[in-house]
Amino acid sequence: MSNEKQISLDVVVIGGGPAGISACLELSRLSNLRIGLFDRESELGGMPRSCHIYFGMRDRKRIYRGQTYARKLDKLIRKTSVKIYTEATVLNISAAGNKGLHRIDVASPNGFESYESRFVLLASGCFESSRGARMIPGERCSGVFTTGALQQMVNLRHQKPGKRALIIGSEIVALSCAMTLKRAGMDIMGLIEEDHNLQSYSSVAKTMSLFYRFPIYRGATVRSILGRERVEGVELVRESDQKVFRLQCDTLVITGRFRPDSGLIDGTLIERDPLTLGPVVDDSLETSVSNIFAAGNVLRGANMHDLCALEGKQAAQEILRRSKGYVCSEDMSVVFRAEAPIRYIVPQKIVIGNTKSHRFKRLCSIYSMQVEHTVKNPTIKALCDDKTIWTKSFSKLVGRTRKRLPIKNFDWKKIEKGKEVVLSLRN
Amino acid sequence: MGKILETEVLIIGGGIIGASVARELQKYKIDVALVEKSPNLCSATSKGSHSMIYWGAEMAFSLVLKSIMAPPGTELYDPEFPFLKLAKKGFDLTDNLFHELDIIHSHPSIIIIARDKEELEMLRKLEEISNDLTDKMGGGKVQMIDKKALNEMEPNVTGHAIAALLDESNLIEVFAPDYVFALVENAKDNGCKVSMNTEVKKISRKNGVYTVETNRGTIETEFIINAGGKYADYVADMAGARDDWGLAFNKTQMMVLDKRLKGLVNSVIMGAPGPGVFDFLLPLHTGNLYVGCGTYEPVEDRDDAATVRENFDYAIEHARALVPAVSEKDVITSFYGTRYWNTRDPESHIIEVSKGAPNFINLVIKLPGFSPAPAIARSVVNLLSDQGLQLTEKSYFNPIRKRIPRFGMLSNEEKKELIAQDSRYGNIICFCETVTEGEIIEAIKRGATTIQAVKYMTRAGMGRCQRNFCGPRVVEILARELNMPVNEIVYEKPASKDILF
Ligand SMILES: Cc1cc2nc3c(=O)[nH]c(=O)nc-3n(C[C@H](O)[C@H](O)[C@H](O)COP(=O)(O)OP(=O)(O)OC[C@H]3O[C@@H](n4cnc5c(N)ncnc54)[C@H](O)[C@@H]3O)c2cc1C
Ligand SMILES: Cc1cc2nc3c(=O)[nH]c(=O)nc-3n(C[C@H](O)[C@H](O)[C@H](O)COP(=O)(O)OP(=O)(O)OC[C@H]3O[C@@H](n4cnc5c(N)ncnc54)[C@H](O)[C@@H]3O)c2cc1C
Repeated sequence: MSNEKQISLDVVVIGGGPAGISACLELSRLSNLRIGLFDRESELGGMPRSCHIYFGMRDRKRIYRGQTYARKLDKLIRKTSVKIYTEATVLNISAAGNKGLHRIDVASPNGFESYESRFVLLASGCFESSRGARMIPGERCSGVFTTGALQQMVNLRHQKPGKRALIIGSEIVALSCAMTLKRAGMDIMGLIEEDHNLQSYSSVAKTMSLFYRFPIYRGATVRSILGRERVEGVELVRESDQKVFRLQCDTLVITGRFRPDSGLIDGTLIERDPLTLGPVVDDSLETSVSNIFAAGNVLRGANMHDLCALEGKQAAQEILRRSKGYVCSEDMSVVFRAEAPIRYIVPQKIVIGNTKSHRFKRLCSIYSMQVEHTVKNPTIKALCDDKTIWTKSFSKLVGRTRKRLPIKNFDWKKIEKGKEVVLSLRN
Repeated sequence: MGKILETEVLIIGGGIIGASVARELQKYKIDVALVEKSPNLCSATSKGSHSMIYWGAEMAFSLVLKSIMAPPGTELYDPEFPFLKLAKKGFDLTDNLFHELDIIHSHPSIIIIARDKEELEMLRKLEEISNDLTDKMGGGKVQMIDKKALNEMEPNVTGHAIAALLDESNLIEVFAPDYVFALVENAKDNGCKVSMNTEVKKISRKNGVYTVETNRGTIETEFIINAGGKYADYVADMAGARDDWGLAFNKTQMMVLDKRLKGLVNSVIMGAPGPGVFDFLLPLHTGNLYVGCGTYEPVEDRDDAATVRENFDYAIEHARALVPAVSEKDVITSFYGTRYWNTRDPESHIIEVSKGAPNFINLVIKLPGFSPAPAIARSVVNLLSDQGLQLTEKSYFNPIRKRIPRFGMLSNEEKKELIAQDSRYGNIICFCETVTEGEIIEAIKRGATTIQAVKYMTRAGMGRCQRNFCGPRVVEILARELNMPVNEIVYEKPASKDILF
């Protein structure tokens, strides 16, 4: 392997979605580093290319349709000196020699190449858990999709997957799904949520259900998917009285429960968080392997694209600092741990020691958490060695929706270096 | 409908048994055809099978388990059982066959653990039977190992294990469709006619020739081999060939876990047999972990494969009792397998010429069916010859088949070369399993017409996202290559028209 030729770069960015492109824009604006941006698709833009809720609010301060936003990012990045590789799938990340460099192997119709670089940014996005992963029982029939597959079919390939669809799940992406179904000229037969509360802002969901005229079934679990060949409907159990009833459809869209597209860290030294299934990162968005960073949805599943873009930018700034010789000194190294029903805390670590600095205040803003399902009147408590270091009550936390975690309000005096901070919820 | 084919031997059914027979018969100068009612090979029992090719400890396990479940006092171990001899013969033929057909497989060890005294007793019994089998018929010995040795071999196995039985040499792991597709590909290369989507509906006989009616036209044949598997009774009835047997069934739900667990265990980890309990975790050559922790459920409708929620919890709980690090977060898919066997003599295969219908051979195979398959195919040759079919060996039989390149498994140099030869091998379609457009096109060339066949032949869509990314792309490639509209491409069975998948 040692005598193979590798193309040399300073920064490799894997994934040309909002996170990866924003990182490249920032890096090229502020440095002369040799940057390579890799995406397996034939166009840049990432997930926004196929979804169409409005984009660009926080990062570009304007509102675009998904595809327009993707094109905008594409146009901006092509004006820079960043080397762009599309239809280029990164197959693996490994160590190149012993100089601390990283190596990626890339396949594309133009050939197979290896690249060597000091920094790597992983911005490979996420996808929705499949029916199999969610263990939804029933017949193994066709006509069952995720929103991601549906949007790819409808918005990129102009196919019509069926006529009458049922939506499972009520996270925000379910609403994006409803819009796509309507756009494809399909009828929406209903939206099913197993929890009693909707997992998104209920006013938006309710408005949409009125506007598109579909019923919402809450507190109902799919007991079985029906149909030997094509899906014909589902059998639901209502949690409150265990009553079983059936709904008909020819298409079933399973939405939400995102998980990071983090296959590239399989079998590497990059530590994986068993809760998010993405890489563990610290306040610089650096993974457990030095100079490999991660940003965007690969960290924890779907978030709004503009936050992903801002994360990409933040990772870029950290890479720049590092390239200018700043060495990360772990003077704190506290690990955060989430207890159910809190689903995760990302970043999972903090290493920066000076809690008075500007930098600390700025980095604090990237910490967030999510609860498994919607909880009313919860109190969240952060403990370190049985000492309460922060507590806060909320009127409601919406399930599977990002909530900023204001760690700068934590009582840092009580936190000792090398300790674990445990976040738990009571209601 | 008109006549579509005349042949000497017609095999009905493209499961492991039909496929094995089809390939074996290519060694002789006779005309052979195989018909399969579904659009894919390996679509019935063989699809939902653990498909382990076994002898030794696992065979002992299955005998003991059945004895436990039979009325008290029943011992189902008799080294004279013909099915045992066939299983051993088949097992011995398999490695070479896999080599000829270039089938990816592995040879994991089996470790059966005991968590208490009673289970330890079970292991002793398994040890005794297994070693008796191998003493009498050949094969590697099994041995008991203590907790320390177990921990060294498999540190992630439950701490409750007090001892284990180790079998290092009597198991071959293979992905069932890989095996069945390879057999049929090789049979086709040697002249076998194969027709998919062809369901036998009626059989009649006149002047020593069978007329077989299918949905695509009639086939005339001298000999019929009924390899209809879990539908063998229906097929036999069409020719009045069912003699005095019927079919019985049971089913089990299984799941497959994410390949990020690769290396968690390197051997098959099994629990000791208990009443109706057959728990094991099988590390697949793909890196995934296969959870075979399910109960034996009765079957009302043999085509009912709808999974059930309670079974998920059961499987996870039982899997954790073997390897605690297993979690439901890693489940990627689950499905049912339906076993069939004959009611006349449940402890035997039926491999015989029907009394009711001349030149009609019934193959009603009990468990295990994969282990003896190559040997069963040889038995069929003998039966045909006994019936007076002239069997002259072909000097030009080609036993070799090359598999579709697996891009993801190649070295960097090989990857580079393959893309340089054909740029479509640089277009990755399935990201989770690293499957390229080149591989998918090759699968279509070799006969894939459905999404499932592409999946079985290339692994596209079998990874952790389960077709979220590649599903629509595979449909597009199929439509383009087959020159069909996208909305006519189906997943497995034909669906109504204006609908995809
Ligand atoms: C189904 C779905 C619907 C959504 N709907 C909305 C919505 O309506 N509104 C909204 O605001 N947000 C929506 N989102 C979220 C939004 O799309 C994301 O927040 C945003 O795109 C995240 O940006 P990212 O850069 O992290 O990842 P992505 O946009 O997913 O980009 C990741 C990129 O990495 C590439 N990649 C991955 N692995 C490799 C590899 N090995 N080699 C090369 N390239 C690779 C991919 O091709 C992709 O282009 C949706 C997300 C999904 C999944
Ligand atoms: C859960 C489970 C686990 C198992 N584990 C193992 C194991 O570990 N090792 C092992 O060796 N065995 C195992 N077995 C048993 C093994 O799978 C079977 O013995 C074997 O698959 C039987 O194959 P077959 O070809 O006889 O039947 P099938 O696979 O059922 O094939 C019959 C074929 O005939 C076709 N057909 C039927 N009727 C018609 C018609 N009228 N016209 C045209 N085509 C027709 C069907 O479509 C089907 O494709 C297991 C089985 C199950 C269910």
